[in-house]
Amino acid sequence: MNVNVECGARIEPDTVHRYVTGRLTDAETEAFELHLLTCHACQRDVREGAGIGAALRDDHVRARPARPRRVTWVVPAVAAAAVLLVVAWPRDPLRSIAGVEAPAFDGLPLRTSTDSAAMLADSGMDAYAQRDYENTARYLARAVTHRSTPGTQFFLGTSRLLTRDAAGALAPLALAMQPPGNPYSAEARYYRAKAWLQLGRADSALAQLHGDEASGAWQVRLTALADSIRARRP
Amino acid sequence: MAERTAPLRDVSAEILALAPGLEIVIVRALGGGEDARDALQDVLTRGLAAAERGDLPDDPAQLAPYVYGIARHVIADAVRARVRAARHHALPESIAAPQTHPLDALVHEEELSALTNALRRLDATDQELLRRCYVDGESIADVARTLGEPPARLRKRKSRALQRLRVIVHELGAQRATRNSAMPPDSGHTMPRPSIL
Repeated sequence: MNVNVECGARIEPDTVHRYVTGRLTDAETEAFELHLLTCHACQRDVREGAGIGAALRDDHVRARPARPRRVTWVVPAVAAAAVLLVVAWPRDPLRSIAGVEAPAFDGLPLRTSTDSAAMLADSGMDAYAQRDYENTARYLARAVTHRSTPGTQFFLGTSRLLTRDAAGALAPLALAMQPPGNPYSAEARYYRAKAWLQLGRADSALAQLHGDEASGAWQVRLTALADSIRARRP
Repeated sequence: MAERTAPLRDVSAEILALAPGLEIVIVRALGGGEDARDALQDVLTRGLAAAERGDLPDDPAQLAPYVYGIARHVIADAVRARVRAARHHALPESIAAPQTHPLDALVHEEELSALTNALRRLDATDQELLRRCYVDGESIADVARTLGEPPARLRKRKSRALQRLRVIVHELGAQRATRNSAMPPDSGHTMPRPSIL
């Protein structure tokens, strides 16, 4: 055992990163968690380690050092094929604005309700909080069969969009826009336009961006997206 | 000679002080969903109720193990509830299992972005060392063996890389704070929403 200089406890130096990556045994985990409850230095290290892992794992940080590799004829062949692909496959300028980010959800949970729709919606949004969009879509698709609301339809649509199911996102996002002026309608228009863009339908995307009055910030985003589409349309 | 009395313990405050550590333990087991938040509340409530009943151990050093025991029970209950819900709604039971990277839920988007930017400024070798530790979960001894370096040297390098990372995150945060002071508070993407139902 070694002494952690910051917290003074006798823990192995690898403990934090092995805890973060789930590599400790059950007994080690229990011992470390007991220590963690009262050690602010280790709590900080675990939170920091979780962040480092998330940043590196999802390849947000792209610069990886070159590893030594065997050079064979395959490498130049693949490189040549890539060059050919780049030449033969013109970049679609609209694709660069078709990407989406997960919309934020700061809703209040409805724990007083225990009916199926509420439970499914809660489970769906739990999955959403964990960026598990496939299960979000699965739960919410079942929730809307019990009760359809603009909110459930909106997150069902955006979750499908985030799992590359742009065609499947269109219907729920259209339902999320009803009735006009509901808290989700402007954002639903924006994401529905993105779905059309992912399907390569710039005209439909543009048509989507005109509609009921949106609040200030969303009106700016809708207008900006429409301008970007017009600028990139052939 | 005046009689010396032990200072009065504020057991409630001692229990609430365990919340940040409990959050990590619970999120690691359950991920960052609503039931994890409920579980944390449940553990604290049960701990405070035990304090009111006078059920807590007298030895202050035994408080954390006692509350940790409550947490393990609550986590087990939450996992069972997930399995039941998944069966009831004919959904895959994998939903009830902890997510692959449950601790991601502890990381806010802003922190992730700051860390990503800071990591980009580290040497590629330091990035790789941190990747092998915090993504692959390799021990320093294993990394040292594959690189043919003494473990003590790698340990020092990791420690320095983390130190540099903290300095860069701090500097970037200070720059962002300066820039943001001139920006309107509402970006349109962080608008609070009503419940979805």
